[in-house]
Amino acid sequence: MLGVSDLSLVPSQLFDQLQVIKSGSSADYGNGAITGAIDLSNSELQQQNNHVALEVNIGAGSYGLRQGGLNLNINKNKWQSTTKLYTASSENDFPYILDSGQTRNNSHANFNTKAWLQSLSYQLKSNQKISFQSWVQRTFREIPPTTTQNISEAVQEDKVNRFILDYEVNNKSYALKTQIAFFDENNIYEDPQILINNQNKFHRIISKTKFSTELSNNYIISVLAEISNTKGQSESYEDTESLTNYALSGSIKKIWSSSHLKLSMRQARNSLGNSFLSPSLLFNQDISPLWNLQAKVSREYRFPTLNELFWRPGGNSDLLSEHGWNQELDLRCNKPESPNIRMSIYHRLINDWILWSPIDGTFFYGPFNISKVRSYGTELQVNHSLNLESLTVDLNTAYSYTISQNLTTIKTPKINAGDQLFYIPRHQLIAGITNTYKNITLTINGAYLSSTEGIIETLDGYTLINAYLYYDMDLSSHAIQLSVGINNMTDTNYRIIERRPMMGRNVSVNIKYKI
Amino acid sequence: MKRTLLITSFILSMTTLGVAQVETTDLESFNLEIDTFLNGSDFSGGFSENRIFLPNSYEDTYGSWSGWSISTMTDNTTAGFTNQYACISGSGANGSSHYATSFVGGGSYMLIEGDIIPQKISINNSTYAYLSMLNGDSFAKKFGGESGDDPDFFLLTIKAYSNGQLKADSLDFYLADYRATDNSLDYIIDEWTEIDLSLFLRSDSLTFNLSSSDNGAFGMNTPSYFCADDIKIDDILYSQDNIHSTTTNLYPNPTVDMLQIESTTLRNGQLTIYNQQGQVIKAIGKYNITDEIDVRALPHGQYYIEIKAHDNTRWVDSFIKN
Repeated sequence: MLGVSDLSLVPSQLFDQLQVIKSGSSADYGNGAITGAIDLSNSELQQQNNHVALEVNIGAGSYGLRQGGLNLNINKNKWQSTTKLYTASSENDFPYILDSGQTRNNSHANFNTKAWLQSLSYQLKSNQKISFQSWVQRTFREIPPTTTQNISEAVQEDKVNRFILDYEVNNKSYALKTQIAFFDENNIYEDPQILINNQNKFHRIISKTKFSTELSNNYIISVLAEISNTKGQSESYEDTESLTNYALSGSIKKIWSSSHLKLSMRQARNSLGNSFLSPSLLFNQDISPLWNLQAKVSREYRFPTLNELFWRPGGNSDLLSEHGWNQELDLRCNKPESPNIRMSIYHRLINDWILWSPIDGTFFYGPFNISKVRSYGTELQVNHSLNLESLTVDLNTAYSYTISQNLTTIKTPKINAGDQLFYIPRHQLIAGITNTYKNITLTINGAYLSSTEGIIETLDGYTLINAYLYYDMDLSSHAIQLSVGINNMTDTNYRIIERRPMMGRNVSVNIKYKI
Repeated sequence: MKRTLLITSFILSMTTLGVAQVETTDLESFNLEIDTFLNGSDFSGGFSENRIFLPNSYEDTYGSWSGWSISTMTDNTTAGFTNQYACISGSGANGSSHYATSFVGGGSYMLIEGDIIPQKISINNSTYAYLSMLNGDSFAKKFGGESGDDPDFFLLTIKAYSNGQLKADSLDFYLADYRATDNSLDYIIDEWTEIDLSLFLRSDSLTFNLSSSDNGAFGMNTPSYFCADDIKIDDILYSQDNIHSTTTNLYPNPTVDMLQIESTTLRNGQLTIYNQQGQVIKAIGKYNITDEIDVRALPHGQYYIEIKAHDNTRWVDSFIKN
């Protein structure tokens, strides 16, 4: 609907791996991956017959936090099954401080979610596998009042049922993966105070086939064909709206001993006639035994979303895609005994940026291609591990400087040319230290974000510090982990969005039992 | 004897002329059922009653309207946009059923037929704006803010035009005012309040603009609505035979003692001065245009002056006595 995923609805506990791809990725990941992508996945099960692994965890925390999960992996003959269950609830009735210095409790903020992730695969042959995954989740949350609102009765319920069927062939000379997916997503937003009851339903069917092969002279070629259809039904749409997306992409990668070059191309099109060709050229070179340099130039795009096209009133079916060129330079030092260092600079210029603005002759808002955005900056990451007899210390720091500027002066919303985009901080600093001594691990991390411009007022910068203590007990075939965490140790009073308070210091404890 | 006759004739002229009529536009002629509204979806372009025209703009593509609507909505408890037509008092002025609700985008206006002096208008808050200011909502703040001390306000500004010319005066009416240091003085209007418009003198249109202390990048956060009823204009000063002021001028205005009339068309006639209640204050049966008019004895205030020529043409204007 919005064209983005609500990350607060994605329980990270359901996934073993979460990879953040910090790079323009439209050629590889498609529509909307202008500045990167987040890849959620679960690791392959061990190739061990008659293997059963069970992990159970329960936890509790401040302000009514209760959570629990179960992971069950079964590997029998050619079958592999992974079942993950997760439930969490919280009252979120935390206190916060108003501008006046008075303390008020967050109210009408209950949250609960239940999720079930099921993965089932069958090894047809040694190189052929068929697998099925489902992700079913129900989330209910009460929407609390803002800091300048007396009462809220608004609630939101999200129901998702996602199913994916994969067929894979992995030969020495080629790999083929074909996938078909069906997503059924329902969202209900109710506010009895203002007589709002919005029910939104979306069905999406995706079919994707990827073929890759490695040629003898170190060329890797891959081709991907994808088609998806999304049907949206909403009281804010005139009718059931449908949008079909087609994409054909391919890449060719040439590998040398200390470098590689990758050319990717993606041609995407939708049923409204939006069409986009997204090329990407990446060159990677070891410039010394320690240092690696990577340069990338790519063309990125984002098709208009269902809301931007069909919202009533205001939807604009004549919208153009956002698009622009992206340039990145990345320098890494990856020697095991030395600190891992990564420095990168980037620049992108996005044209036809979509903003909602008053429609001429009316007082409703509609989306228009009225802006141009330039984004550039630098990121620095330093990670280092120290082994001191039985003590291991991991240091992780990252700093980013981000300029994301509107280049067009607009009357409504009131934006001057050169203004930083709303809610984007110029400076971010993250630092963490993890100490492991025998079976005790202590992690302390902190984050600093500089001030941001909101749509109503400036939001102050803030620093958050968190600490987590883990104690692991290995008991032959069993393992128990106890953990205690303190978030926002300094009880910082901060806001990410105006008039929306954030939780102060809070504590959680967790027990994990593994067989 | 002569003095007695003069006094008698003066009394007689007062009696025959009588007290002026005030025409009130109360919108009851629309005769709507209770809890209904007219928002221009019939593309009528606006609503007329007596000499008042309330323009409306309706956009069929989006089902949106701006300008004025006519309402008999009684819901004064439901918050939000779905209750945009209702007035916080749940009725029109003086307990009547009909009233007008305005959605003010870039400005709302009202046309007055002829070039006459508007007297009064009753104003109130819409339920939507009132509850938003009182309790806050997802978009707009509760007035007073987090501390209760924010100097918030919701202001209606009325201006007048005559023959395309903007008049220098403007009138500010606070639909909500939290600017006082003493929070017990904070208020949000929830009853019909009559506003005096006579400072605008002769006008053929009024404009209405809303402003608020709660603003963001997308403009005013407070809902841009207010309600109006009982628009009163001075009936006796309307005439199809009125000679326009472009040929006849009154000066100095304001005045402290004397008035002079300069005209290219008027020569003489019957001169009458009325107060704001339409009562005759001074009458000169045979007045020559070159004569000065002595108003020293009049109390401070606004008055109307009329000259009725022998051919029954009339000229009317107003002046301020300081």
